[in-house]
Amino acid sequence: MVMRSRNQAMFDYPIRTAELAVLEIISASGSSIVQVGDRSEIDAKLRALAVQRQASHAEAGEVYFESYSVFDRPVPAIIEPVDEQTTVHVTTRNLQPRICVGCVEVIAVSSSSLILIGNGMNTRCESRVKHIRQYAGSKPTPPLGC
Amino acid sequence: MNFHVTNHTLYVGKIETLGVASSSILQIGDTQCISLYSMFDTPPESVIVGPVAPLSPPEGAESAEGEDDRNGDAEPESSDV
Repeated sequence: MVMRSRNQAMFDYPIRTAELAVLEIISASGSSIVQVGDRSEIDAKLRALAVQRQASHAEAGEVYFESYSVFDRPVPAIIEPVDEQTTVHVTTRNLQPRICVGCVEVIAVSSSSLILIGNGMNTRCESRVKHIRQYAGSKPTPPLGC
Repeated sequence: MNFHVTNHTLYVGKIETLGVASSSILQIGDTQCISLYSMFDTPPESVIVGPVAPLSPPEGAESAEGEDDRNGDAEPESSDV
């Protein structure tokens, strides 16, 4: 029992290092992050109105974030622990000082996404996307489901 | 509640990913707290077929955030964004 606790102390590394040989990324867009190294705070946000229509915006008018509720509705609340019974105490022990990865290949990173080679502390990402397709037609059709 | 985690050896050969999108994370490393939110709205009424008319502006459209075409860097020819 004593031996075991001594071994635990010997192999306990407080912080692990990430080792990566090759990182291949073709595209990173739309409030996304590619980082090699540690980071404490991340707060990435993206709001997008994706309008596809058969007329220019000068002709068919502008679009506004304020018109659509998806951009101002609150995010779901995270239920915080209220007392000792519901609080979870996490203790972590690392037997190896590093995480080793040979090769990472990613085609695209987008919409407030994140590639992080290293340690992070607090990460918060939020993306809100609204799609609108407006086609010219001879007679108006009601939306599907009506 | 106490939760004990023991991390043993972690060696990975290769990770091939097509895409990381809409508030997602690909991380090699340790972390404490992650909150990811994604809202994606494409309801049936998003498809409008008919005469191309301006979409109704919101209340107080003058002060609303629209595409910034006051500096002349907007492209009126582009049909999609």
